[in-house]
Amino acid sequence: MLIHSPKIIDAAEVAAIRSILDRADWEDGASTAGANSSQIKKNSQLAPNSETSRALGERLTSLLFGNPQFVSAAIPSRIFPPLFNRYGVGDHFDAHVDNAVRGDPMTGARLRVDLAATLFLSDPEEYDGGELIVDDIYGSRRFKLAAGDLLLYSAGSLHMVTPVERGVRYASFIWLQSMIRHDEARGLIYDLDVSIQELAPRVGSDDPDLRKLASAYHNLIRYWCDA
Amino acid sequence: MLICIPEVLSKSEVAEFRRTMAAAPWEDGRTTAGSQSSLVKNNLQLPQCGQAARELGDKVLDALATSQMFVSAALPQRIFPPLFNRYGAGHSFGLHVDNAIRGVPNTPIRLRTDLSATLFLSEADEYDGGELVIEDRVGQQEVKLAAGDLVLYPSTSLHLVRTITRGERIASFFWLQSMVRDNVARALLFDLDQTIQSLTARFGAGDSTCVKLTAIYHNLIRTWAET
Repeated sequence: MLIHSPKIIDAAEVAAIRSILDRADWEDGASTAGANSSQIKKNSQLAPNSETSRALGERLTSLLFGNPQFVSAAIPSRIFPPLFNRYGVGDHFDAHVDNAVRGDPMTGARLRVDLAATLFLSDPEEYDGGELIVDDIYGSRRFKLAAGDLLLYSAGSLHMVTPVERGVRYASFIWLQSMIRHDEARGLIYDLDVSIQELAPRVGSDDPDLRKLASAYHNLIRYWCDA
Repeated sequence: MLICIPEVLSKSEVAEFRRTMAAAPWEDGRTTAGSQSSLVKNNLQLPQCGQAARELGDKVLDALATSQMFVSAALPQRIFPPLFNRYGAGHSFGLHVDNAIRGVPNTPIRLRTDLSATLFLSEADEYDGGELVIEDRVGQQEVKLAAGDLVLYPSTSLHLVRTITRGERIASFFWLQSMVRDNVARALLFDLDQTIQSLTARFGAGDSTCVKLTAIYHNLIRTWAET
């Protein structure tokens, strides 16, 4: 599953987050990596338990959970506190899959990592390299999105960030447990919602066919969800 | 899910069936009943391996294959060769459940009975009583359709045929294994397909939303079907 959500946060919000990131303390990104990933990860992160990271993460979480497109695509049940990273020149993250289960050291809460998301916080012209490459079922895809755009992808897909050759690439990365565990099921539910949203303005919200599609949508969620 | 499908056979086909059946030999209906059902079954059947049953059964199968609504509702994988029964005054079939597995006589073919079907071959005004009564946890549904119409219902239900008090009730009945075992999933597919048919009639088969919905329908089938 690969879903690109443009402008999930607006330019003012990006600028506000960037002004905090620009003067934050950064630590070695290996601190949140698993045993295998730490060999191949070279970047900086905000310390996950720092006040700055927590406050930004909470702000981002409430923006994401209030965003209908994000909710429709992810059908989130739990979110790991968003983390923030910085790739300077020479930094990279080689191909890896994310850990299946994550525990929040602050709260002890655990989640199954169904989905990963990258929120781009630098515009493409601010840096060279630093592309996010994700291997999905239809092959390998490269992303370098505008600041404020979000890429949602299956946490089980192999992904990497190519070395940054110029400038700095800021991003937030997010892990989610979805109410719909399986990618194919979640993808179908999302596709159905997209079609319903397309159809609604054409036929009007009280159209009988539209209502039947809406009931199929809710019944599919009922069929597959772990609430 | 209880679905009535009108005009599976035309009136002239019904008349032809009735002529063939009038000339055929009949036997005690308990030959195809399980041990519990045989205690409550009191009717006549065409011998299942006899020429009349085979010939008419094939015609029923041909008619089913051309009924879009039947295929959409049942998503049949295997259909038991249709049987034919006749209830005269005083005949009935008490409350029973259909066997879970049926072997097709003289073949190694077995099927799981997901759905049961009754194809009415007498008009409702030709007899009194003889309603097909399907029980669920909250009550009963009574079905008495016009000649040529078919009712499809989950084989899991307890059901009965009320005592005939006048005239004669002639019908075909059969079971089928569906490609989609789960009643909830199959009902959802049926609803979605019917809605797509309606939208396609309104907007044309090339409409982009109709194309996307059709993809979702097929991908759901891919998720759930056993072939």
